[in-house]
Parts: sequence; C-alpha cells; structure tokens
Amino acid sequence: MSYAIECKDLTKRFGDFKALKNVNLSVDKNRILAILGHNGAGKSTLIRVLSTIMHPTEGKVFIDGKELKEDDTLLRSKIGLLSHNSYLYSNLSAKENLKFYSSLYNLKDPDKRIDEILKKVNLYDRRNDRVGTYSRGMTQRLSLARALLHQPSILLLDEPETGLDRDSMELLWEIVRTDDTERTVIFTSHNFQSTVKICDEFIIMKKGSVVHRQDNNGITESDLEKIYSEVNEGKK
Amino acid sequence: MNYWKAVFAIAKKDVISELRNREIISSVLLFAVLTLIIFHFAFTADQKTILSLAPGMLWVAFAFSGVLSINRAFISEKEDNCMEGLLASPVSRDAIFLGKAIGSIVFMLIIEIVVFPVFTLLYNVSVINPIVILVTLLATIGFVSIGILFSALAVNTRAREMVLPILFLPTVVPLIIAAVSATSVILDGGKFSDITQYMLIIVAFDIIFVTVPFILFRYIVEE
Repeated sequence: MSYAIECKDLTKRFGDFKALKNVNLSVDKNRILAILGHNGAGKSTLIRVLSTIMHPTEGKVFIDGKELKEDDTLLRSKIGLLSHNSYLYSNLSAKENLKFYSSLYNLKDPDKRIDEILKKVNLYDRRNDRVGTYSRGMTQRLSLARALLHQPSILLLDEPETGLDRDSMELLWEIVRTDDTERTVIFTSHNFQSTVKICDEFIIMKKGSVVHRQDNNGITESDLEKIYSEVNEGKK
Repeated sequence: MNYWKAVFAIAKKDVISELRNREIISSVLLFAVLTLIIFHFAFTADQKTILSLAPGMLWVAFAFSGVLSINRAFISEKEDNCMEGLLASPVSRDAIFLGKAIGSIVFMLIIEIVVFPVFTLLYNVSVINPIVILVTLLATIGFVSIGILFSALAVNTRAREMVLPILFLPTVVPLIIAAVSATSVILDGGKFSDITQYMLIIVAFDIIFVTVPFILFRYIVEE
C-alpha cells in the first residue's frame, strides 16, 4: 500500500542556505501528523513544498504513490492548504470567493457544497458580506472552508491556530476531525495542548531536518514539552 | 473544459474585483480623459493638423492608462496574498496567464469605450469607425498580453510602478506605431486594403506577444 505522502531525500536551498536537509518522511493514509519545531526549523518550507507552491531543490515527493511533478494538476487537486495567508479576496464575498475556487477545482454542484461548508464553519449568515469586513477568526474559518471545499484527501495546515481565540481553535479542529472525507492531515504548530489532543503522531524538526518522530499513544502535554526540550537541547 | 472554466473564472474574478474597487477604475478613466484634455489645450491647431495628431494622442491615452490597469493585474493578488492560492490550485500556469490577460483586456476595453466618445467630442474627429475599432481591439490584445508578463515580473520589485513602464513600453513600441499608422490612414479616408501591412504587423505582434508570455509565464510566477 502506498503512503499518502512520502518525501525522499528532500532538500530545499535558498541560495547557500538549506531550509530542508535530506528530509525522509512517510505518512500513512488517514493519519494526523503534527510537525513541531522552533521558528526557522523548516516546518513551513516543508508544507510549501508538499503543497507544490515550492519545488524541492533535490529529492522527490510522492502523493498517493505518484511522484509530484512541477505542473501536476491532478495531484494538486487532492491537496487542501491552509496557510498563514488566507488566499481570500477581500473585495469578494465569502460565497464569491468559494465560487471562484470551486471553478478552479472544477467542482460538480458547487452551490450545494458551498452552502454546506459555509454552514459548517458558521459563516452561512455572512455569506454575502465582503471578506474585507471579516474578523481574523472569521477569515481563518473561511480559509479552512476554502481548503476543504474540494474535499481533498490530504490537508496541509500551516500554524492554523495563529490569531484564533480558544473557541475558534476548538471549532477549527472539530471541523477538521468531523468532516466526512477520509483524509490525511499534516499540520505545523507551536501549541502542545492541541497537538497532543489532535495528532496520531508527531515529528520534531530542527535546522531543516526531522530529528524525532513518535506516535501519540496518549502522550500528555508535559511529556511532549519534555521531549521537545530534550530534542532541541540535543539530549535525545 | 476545466481549463477554460478556470481561465474565465480568473478573468471574471479580476473584473468584478477591480470594478468594485471604484477608486481604481475611476482614477484610470480620469487619467485617460485628462490626457486627452491636456492635449486639447496643448495643441491649438487647425482641424487638418489635429487629424494627423489624433491617432498618436489616442494611443498615448490608451498606453498610459493601460499601464496603470495592467499594473493592477498582480497587485490585487499581492495585496490579498492570493497568488500562492492560485499556484496551489489544480490550474496550469498558462491558464492563470490567459485568465489574467482576458480580465485586463476587458478592463482596457472599458477604458477605450469611454475614451472614444470623449475624444470625438473634444477634437471633433470621429474615431468611432469599425476599422479603427478593429485596429484598437487587435492592438489591445498584444499590448495587454505582453504587459501581463511584465506585470508579473514587476510585482515583486519595490519600485513596481516604475519598473513596469520602463520594461514594457519600449517592447510595445512597434505595436503602437503600427496601430497609430493604421488609425491615421483610416482617419485620413483610407480603406481597409490601405492598412493591410499594418494589420499584418499588429497580428504578427499579437501572435508573438500572446505566445511568448504563454510559454514563459510559469517561470516568472513560480519561485
């Protein structure tokens, strides 16, 4: 059986700086993987490479066993991405934004799906308001709706909790967990509390490399903090 | 099927988004009309001289207001940080180029629809002529297409408002000269057969200016 995502000797260079160094990572289907690490560890670069926004300098990425090529539109349709940026147009309403993305993803019966996903993120009543008038939390919820719109089998979330209050955070994770589609989720986070609650397994990155990988197995937040500190201090 | 659906979705989104931002459309239109008004007061010549200057004045207004509108093609993506969203979607890069180009052509046609009657009123020279409109339409296609490529190139530079015209205007000079010459012949009472060589130049540049960005666009928008 093929992995949902597999990276082989993945390296990403920016000039002389190596943001990713020979990353080897495989994620089984329908698993939730958390990526932890300090700022600059390479978490966001890894997400950007997996989402096809960036191309690796060396190495290969496989999605569902197929190698990701530069202009592979079919594989890109399997991926949903929630980034630091919302990728939403402030001059358009929530519904218009989702309608636009539904055309790019060639959705069948987009109106039904748009209404369904807007209800799920509690924005149905504000669907005709321009996104420029939304709060940070509402924008992030709509951004999640955009990422889930085409029911991707792989969902990539880059620090999805940034700027969200506790209620919005809980809603975000509830939507990710309860959405009907079976999917593999990879997310980056600095929040140990939600990480231990959500993930099936986690990796810790340091200076562009994956230095630790572990199954969740009911780990507590304090255990995770301890492991994280030890790994970053080089004790583990 | 999906290819063209995506192309027209991008074009439609750009047009709606720009029209909603009334500051942009109104300032571009005002700029085009002001250019014509300034020329009107600058050249107090007889009607024959005006007729010989008219095509040039018309295309100066189109070119400079066109630069402003083409500049917007990627600024809106940059302001909303949406370019990566487009790149992560299952749409080929050349479809993004075509969508952006069609959106900007529509925007530029709106400018031209306003400029034509204003020009006719100010100079008493009727430019609302089917052949002049055809020349303008064909020249607009090439003008905007190559402009989109330079706009994508300039959007990530600090002085993008300066960079775009510096790179773009010298490149479109042959196209503008051909359009001005063809318009001049028609306004002077010439027929379509009299402008065949200019039309061939415009069509040739259209083919080059659509094909080259179509191929090169992906290398500019990706890292």
